[in-house]
Amino acid sequence: MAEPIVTIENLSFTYPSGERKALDNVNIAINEGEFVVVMGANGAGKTTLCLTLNGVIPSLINGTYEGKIIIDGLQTTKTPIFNLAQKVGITLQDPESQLLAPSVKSEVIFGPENLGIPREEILKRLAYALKVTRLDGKEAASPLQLSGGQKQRLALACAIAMQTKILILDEPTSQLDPIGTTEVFSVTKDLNKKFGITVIMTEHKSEEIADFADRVILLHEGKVVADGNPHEVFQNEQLFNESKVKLPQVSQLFHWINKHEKAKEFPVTLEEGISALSKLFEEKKIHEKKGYMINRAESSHSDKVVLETREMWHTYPPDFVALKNISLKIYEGEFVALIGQNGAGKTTLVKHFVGLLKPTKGNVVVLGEDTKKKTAAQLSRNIGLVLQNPDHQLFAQSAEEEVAFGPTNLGLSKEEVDKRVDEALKLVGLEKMRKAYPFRLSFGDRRKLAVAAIYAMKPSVFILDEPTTGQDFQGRYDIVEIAKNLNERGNAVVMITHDMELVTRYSHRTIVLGNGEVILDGPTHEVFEKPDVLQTTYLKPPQIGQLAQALEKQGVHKDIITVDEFKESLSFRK
Amino acid sequence: MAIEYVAGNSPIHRLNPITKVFFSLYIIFVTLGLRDIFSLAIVLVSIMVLWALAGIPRLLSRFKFLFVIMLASGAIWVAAQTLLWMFGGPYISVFEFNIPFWPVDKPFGRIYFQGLTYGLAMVIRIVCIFSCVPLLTLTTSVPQIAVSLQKLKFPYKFNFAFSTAVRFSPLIFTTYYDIKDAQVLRAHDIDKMSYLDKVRKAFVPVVTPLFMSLLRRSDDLEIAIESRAFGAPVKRTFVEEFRFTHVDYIFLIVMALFAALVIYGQIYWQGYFVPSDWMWWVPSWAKPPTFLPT
Repeated sequence: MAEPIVTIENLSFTYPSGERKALDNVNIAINEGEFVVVMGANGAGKTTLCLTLNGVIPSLINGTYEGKIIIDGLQTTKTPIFNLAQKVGITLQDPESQLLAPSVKSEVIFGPENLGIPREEILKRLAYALKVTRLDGKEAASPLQLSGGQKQRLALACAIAMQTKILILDEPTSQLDPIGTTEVFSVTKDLNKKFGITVIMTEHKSEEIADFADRVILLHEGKVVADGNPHEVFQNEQLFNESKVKLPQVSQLFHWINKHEKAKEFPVTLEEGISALSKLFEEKKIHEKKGYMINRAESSHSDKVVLETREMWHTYPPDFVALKNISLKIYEGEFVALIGQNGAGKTTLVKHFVGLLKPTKGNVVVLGEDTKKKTAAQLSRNIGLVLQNPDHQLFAQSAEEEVAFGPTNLGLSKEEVDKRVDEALKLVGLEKMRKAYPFRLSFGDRRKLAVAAIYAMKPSVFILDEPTTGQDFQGRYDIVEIAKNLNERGNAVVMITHDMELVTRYSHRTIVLGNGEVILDGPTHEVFEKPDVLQTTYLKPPQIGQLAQALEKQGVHKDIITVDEFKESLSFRK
Repeated sequence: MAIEYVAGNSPIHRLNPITKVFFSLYIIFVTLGLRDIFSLAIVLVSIMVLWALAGIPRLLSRFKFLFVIMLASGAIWVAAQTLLWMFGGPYISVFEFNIPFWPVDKPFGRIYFQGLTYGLAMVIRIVCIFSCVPLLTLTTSVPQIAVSLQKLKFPYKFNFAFSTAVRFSPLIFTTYYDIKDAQVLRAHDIDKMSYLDKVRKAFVPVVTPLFMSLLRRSDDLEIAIESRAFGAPVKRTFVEEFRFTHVDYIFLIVMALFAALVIYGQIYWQGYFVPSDWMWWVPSWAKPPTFLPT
């Protein structure tokens, strides 16, 4: 066997401010042409691992470094970064801040120019890099005009122009919508399969990972706890639960089936799941419960309308129509998911709910008041919006000060403010951190703090704008559980998200936006029964729903949308 | 933004950025040299022709209000010049009055023809100089400017800082507005505060997150730059190159002819050519005699 292209030996790393090792005795060997996905919860050491591979750790970021990494014959600690840059290309999580040039062309040629490569050669590389990332024809565009998916592909093109044999992608899709995610994954897959580039990617989206990864490495608190092909690694359910990493839904279902009826193979992808499950049906080992009805708690909202839009339009100057004729009613006690690709108008719509934007035609009414007559600050005691990025609102010296800011602005008494701060911190589980400096909290905790800060204003409608961006599996559930808690106290909750699994688990009602129009609005399971309509705005039902829809002929209820519903509907032969 | 590059393929777009920079300097030189409104008007008209060639009127149509403001302030300037001018020449007497102990022994309240032309010339001069700005900024992309700076032997690090700053400034603006919105949602509304409150407490909740997010961004940026071999100890390649094409040469020749005509005209009618008093650095023996209309 050939020499591995990447060898990591006994690698440990501790940040100067870290309490424990970010990486703890990691040993990995990667062969040329492999597609390796590194999974793990936030804080497991994924990004640290990526940065050690291209030498940024320890050259730029200092800390306690032990062990060694050999990349294509070069030891990272003894090679300057600009030399490593010709071996390893990297893309970062935030598509925005890694791009620095004024045009796509100058972005791609930046690296090769720095290396002093001859002009003709650079132009050849530019054409090639843009072709394989499907960005040809965009040379003159500004990176700012590109969509999220295009930005990540541009970052890939920059790496390719350096002619690296190894590409590192650090959570490339965590800030992208479904279509951007698909674009980035398919380009990466091409680079690996067609052009033989070794890919090392960190990622949370296990369903996609199962589709194309040759190898999955699971990190937990800096240690490698599993390493192997997806079929092997995903079999260990307990390990994934301990590491707080999600398994593909198909695998989740089969872990449960295997406890009753050992299936021959262990499926990790949708296709494998369909064939394995239909085999079980054919062999009559498993069947649908007779007369089974999915037990859905009918959404228990009251008749009181808390939020209403009436034939509302919004046009951005000069003539971009962002919202077209939106008429919606949201009732007290509802949990509504708002989905659709980026640019569909989701954020524009919720900014109207809270009065940050005013409709150019039509009306928005919050608790009986027209938003045109109020400022956003006045409306904030009735309706709360937690914006996407918690770092855009945290500024105070301590968590409690942060939470007290809103209620104090409302002019409440000191006692009332203190009471609300206690309550809000308790709600999000940060009561022990009340003196902590907000910027020192983990990303997940900062987001919880942002929710607490809005909760303390006691609005009766809560809106969460993509609370899942950049969050791992556990962080997502934590935050949506808080929203559920608020919902159970009678508040209406509206949540924007790209995570269909969360939508199906939590929301009673789902509104789908496409090109500024409401294209579907109804109970969540009914919305996901129409995959063809969802497709028009590049959405898909969650994997388990696709599985159920594919097995409709075998008698599976096609409106199943969660793993639990699927489990309940099945019964085993006696 | 008003002065941001818009892609295009006009002769002006194709000009070498250095020619365009040279053109702006040249306009400053010529307009300060010319004193009569007719020659100045010709300069203005020729700049407008270049505007039309570059398609600028279409691009700036959104900023009509700016032109209205410019026009209004120009009119005020002309009026002031007209009323305060006190030198010879024909005048119309409007309402003559004297200010006691005023050192000049002439009454106020006369409209001098010469004052009118002087004010007009001043305004046309300023308009000419400002009209050159969009000719450069709207038709030259940032990489082109960076390359020209390179050609003019600016150090690469300076160029890099320049183009990165241009790239990130819109991002800073959007972040600022996002943060402002986030705080409005917590009933902290800067726009609705009194000036005193603004000074006292308005900006900490907005500037702190902005600052933190910029710091975080710059960390990311550093990683992105380093992992693309910035500062490698080799001679850097510059892919973008700009040659002087025949358009540039035609342009430069026309400029030279025009300048010659201006100088010749000035000498013919006035007996000498003086760009203006801004030539303070010229030694006094070389300075032409001071010109004051009598």
